[in-house]
Amino acid sequence: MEKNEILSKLQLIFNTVFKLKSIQIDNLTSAKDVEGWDSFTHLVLIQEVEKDFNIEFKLRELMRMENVGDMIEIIASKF
Amino acid sequence: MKYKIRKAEIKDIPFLIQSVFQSEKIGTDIISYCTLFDIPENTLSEQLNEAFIEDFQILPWSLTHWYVSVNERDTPLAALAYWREPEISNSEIQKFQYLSFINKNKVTQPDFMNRYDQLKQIAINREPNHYQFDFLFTEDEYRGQGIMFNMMNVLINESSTSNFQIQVLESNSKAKKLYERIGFVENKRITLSGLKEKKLLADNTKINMIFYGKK
Repeated sequence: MEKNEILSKLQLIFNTVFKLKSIQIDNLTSAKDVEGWDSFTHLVLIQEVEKDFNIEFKLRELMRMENVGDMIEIIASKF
Repeated sequence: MKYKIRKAEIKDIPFLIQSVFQSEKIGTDIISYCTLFDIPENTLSEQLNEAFIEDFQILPWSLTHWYVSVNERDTPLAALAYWREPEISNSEIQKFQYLSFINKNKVTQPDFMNRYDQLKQIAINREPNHYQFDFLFTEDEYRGQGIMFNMMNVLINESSTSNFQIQVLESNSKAKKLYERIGFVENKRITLSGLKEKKLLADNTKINMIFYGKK
């Protein structure tokens, strides 16, 4: 899967999870940039991403995810 | 008695796990994490073992952060965790992520988040960029010989920064005195009022100490 394809799919997931219309995510987007991105919402986000892409993250992968770019790299490595 | 200080290695992991257990249990016989999340101690032991091996540096239980004092046969007598608290804002999220992952079967419980909040209530925030000391433990028979005092001083003297943080229960006056001898001063305390929280610690007052050392 192409990385920009992953990004646009993630954008839709973010819109749903954070219930925001205007947030535009990019590689550098991280928790501090998005209102409401707290510990619990993060879990929901991860679950949604796993469901949508039909993948499962390993603990090691989750622990090195610091921004959307990291997330895209990890998702891409699974296809 | 001769001993030397070195970075912890894989073979020290059982001793490090023991240090976490013993330091968490000071003045009590419970580990708040186990009590809060209904986790048996042997499960915690396995979780810690994995954390040490995986070496996630966002967590205190990363082998990289640990130091030991060893005797001539290279057997550990004392251990502590020592790390620089990161500035990145998502460290809390990653810690929660970790906790939920390793307790996957419990995350679906509606009160998991409440329990996590309780765990945070009995904690004092770690200051970003401050060097943290935690889980200090010396084997019974080697106490009172200044091993921990030396370990802390060596690490502080080697450090290029000057901000250090440590937390101690009010009832643990021996430890508090040791930290004061090193240069730590009390700057904050939390007193737990909720009955639930009270059950989690040996006493209901936790003290935060800071040392703005030499520079």
